[in-house]
Amino acid sequence: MSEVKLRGWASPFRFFAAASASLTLCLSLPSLGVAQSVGTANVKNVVVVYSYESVLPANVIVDRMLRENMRVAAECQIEIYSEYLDTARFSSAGHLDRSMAHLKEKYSDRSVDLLIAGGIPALDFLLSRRDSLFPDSPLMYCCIDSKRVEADKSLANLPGVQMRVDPVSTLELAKALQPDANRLFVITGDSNRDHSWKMQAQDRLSAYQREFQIEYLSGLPLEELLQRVRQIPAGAIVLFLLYMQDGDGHHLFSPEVLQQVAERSAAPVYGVYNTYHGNGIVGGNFATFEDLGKETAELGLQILNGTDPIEASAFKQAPVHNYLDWRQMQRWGLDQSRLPSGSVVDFRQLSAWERYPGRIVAAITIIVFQTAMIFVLVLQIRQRRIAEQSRLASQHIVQRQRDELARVNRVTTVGELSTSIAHEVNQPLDAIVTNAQAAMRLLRQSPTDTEEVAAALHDIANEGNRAAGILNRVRSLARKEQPISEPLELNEGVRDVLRLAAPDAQNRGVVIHQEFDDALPSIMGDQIEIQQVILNLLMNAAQAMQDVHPESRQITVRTTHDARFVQLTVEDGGVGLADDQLRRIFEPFYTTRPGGIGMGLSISQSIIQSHGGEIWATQNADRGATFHVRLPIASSDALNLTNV
Amino acid sequence: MPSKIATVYVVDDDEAVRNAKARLLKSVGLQVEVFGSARGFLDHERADVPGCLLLDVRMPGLSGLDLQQELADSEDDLPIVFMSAHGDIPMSVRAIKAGAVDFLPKPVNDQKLLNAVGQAIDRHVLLRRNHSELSDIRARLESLTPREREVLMLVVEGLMNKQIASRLSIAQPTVKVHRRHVMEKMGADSIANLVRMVEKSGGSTPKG
Repeated sequence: MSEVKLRGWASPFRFFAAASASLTLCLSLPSLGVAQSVGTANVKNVVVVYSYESVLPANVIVDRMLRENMRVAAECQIEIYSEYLDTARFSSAGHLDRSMAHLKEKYSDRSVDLLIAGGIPALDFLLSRRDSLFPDSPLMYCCIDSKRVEADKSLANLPGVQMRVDPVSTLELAKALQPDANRLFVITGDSNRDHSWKMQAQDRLSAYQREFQIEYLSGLPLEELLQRVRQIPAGAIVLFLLYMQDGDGHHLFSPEVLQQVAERSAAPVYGVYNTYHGNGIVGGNFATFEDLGKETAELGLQILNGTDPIEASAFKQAPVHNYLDWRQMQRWGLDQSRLPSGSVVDFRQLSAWERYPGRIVAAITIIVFQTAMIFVLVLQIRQRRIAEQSRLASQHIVQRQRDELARVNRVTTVGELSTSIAHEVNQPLDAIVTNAQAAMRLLRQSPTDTEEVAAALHDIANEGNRAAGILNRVRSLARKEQPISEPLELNEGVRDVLRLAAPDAQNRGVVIHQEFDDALPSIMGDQIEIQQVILNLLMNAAQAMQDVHPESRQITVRTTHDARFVQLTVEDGGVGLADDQLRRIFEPFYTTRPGGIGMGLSISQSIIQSHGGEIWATQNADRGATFHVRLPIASSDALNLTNV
Repeated sequence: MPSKIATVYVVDDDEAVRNAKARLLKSVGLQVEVFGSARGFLDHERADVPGCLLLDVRMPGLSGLDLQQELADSEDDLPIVFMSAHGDIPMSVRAIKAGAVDFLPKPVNDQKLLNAVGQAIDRHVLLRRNHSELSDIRARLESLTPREREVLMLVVEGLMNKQIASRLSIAQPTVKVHRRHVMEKMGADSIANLVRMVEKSGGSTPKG
């Protein structure tokens, strides 16, 4: 075991991920193997020696990539052994010696077909101890800064995968995103490697002196650093290089420091390592450890397959890209369209749509469907309501037309009765006039028969009232009010109508017989409309008997009742009705009488139906026809209600 | 004064009207009887006094015009004054043609009514008088023997006794006897008087 000095900035603990993740790969050729007690001829053993601890993200990624790519691609079985020097936490030379002794002991019973060094400490370790450790195993490296390779001649012939870490290309990226920025803050820590990085940066960034006012926040204690970044003016560019150790000597983990810096920084932060990506930087120009691991695996396989290591030393470089953090770009409001082509934007937060397209489609479909259903239902309800309204409106119109028609019918009937009505009014007028004249004559006589004069005056008053009553009846028939519903005595209605119609009937030589049911219950209805029906029936009956023998000119008006209905029949001795006429008699404009308009019975039917009753006609056994009207007896409720 | 005993029969189905008419007629001293229908009047036993009928045209059952017809059919010459609550010209023409005294529209002016009634009663008085003379003549004619009636007709024709004897193939002195009996029975004091009575009775004598 020879002592190995850890090269470069030996950090006390922890490595920061990507940045310093140099892996040492140990590669041993089977033919050179010390002992081959384990495995068979077609098993190839690859020992990978990493500089730092096993949980370092860079190590994890590279290890995974190696295992995936080498095992899959190889024709023979490849066994990969990973070793971690953990030099950040164990930086003493003794640790490296012990590690060497341990490895030597550990692999004494098998050949090592390939050695891979991961990172600079591991490479230095292997280079310095290779002869005593795995003298015959081919060695290659992985993730070694290309600057180091350029600077170290001893590496010129060594195959490996270089990693280019360049603050300039990252600054260019920052400039592209923030074209107006004129201040630049460069952050490094207090470890040797931090200082090395700072110097390197000062050198490389000197070209930007004119463009930017550059300020180095270097070697500050963490608290102070965090304080300072708060005060960075907005619109500046912050370049986070490395922070392995702070000004107070604490060993730190660069990605973690970066997270805190990025959280507090007043300006966008950029970084140079893959492992910063996703931890707070807007972006940077670097290679990914995935790509580094993959390249390493490829190169390793070539070597295992017998390619001349020298030839293979034409070093490889993993592709370098601008990697950007979508979330940070959003945070700083940076315009994605300014990005150079080929930039890779990661961590784009998927929109809900991108995450759950199926569910969203389903939800939208359901919502659309429901909306459509609701719309349809609302529409239906609306249409129904409109239909209902128009139905009510048309019902209203029909009702109004019916009322108006009924009124016209009444007025017409009154017109037909005018002679009769004139006669009817003239009777009391004649009585009045005659009584008055008689009274005057009586008053002129001596002695005056005052009793007779008083009787005359009494009769005058009575007859005046009688004339007024007739006129009221006539006027009410022509009135224009809405029909109402009130308790009615059918007998009274018939009597009233007979007073009007009887003179006309007499004129026609018609005798009207009245057979009234004295115990007739009340009905509910409109007095005028019911009287109109009676009047129509009487007029019809009288007219039906115009041409029959005077002896036959008889009308019988009869009222009866049963448990539920009162019934009115008007029986005439006229010409009667044929079967066809019986069927059609209630149709509008159907008339059997020359000069008739055929509305009377049609209107009567609509009136009776609106009262919940029925009207029909039958042919009498001997001669003439009978019209029947049936109306429901008023319920006691209805009567009580109207009596209140 | 015939009016003292004259009776007016008021026939109207309207009680108020007929009572009013009765009141008016009574106020001028007339006798009044009221009837609610034509039938009621016809069934009533009438006193043998002059009078008239005040009749409403339009009534249930038998109308005023019907009643007029009935009276005419039974040779009842009671004069009629019609009243009508509505002026119906064809109806009034018919009534007047059938002998009505007047046709008054209701409401009736009292003076016109009383005039018409008075006129009707006067006519009835006259009619009654004529009627009684005729019955007298007829009774006398009835009292003649058939031969006397033959002689009477020939006398009225203006034939001489000789011509009558020749026509009846009887002796001339027999003609003279018959002629004397005729003059006595008819109560005629002259041939001219006899002729007038025969004319009044109808222009002819009843044949045996």
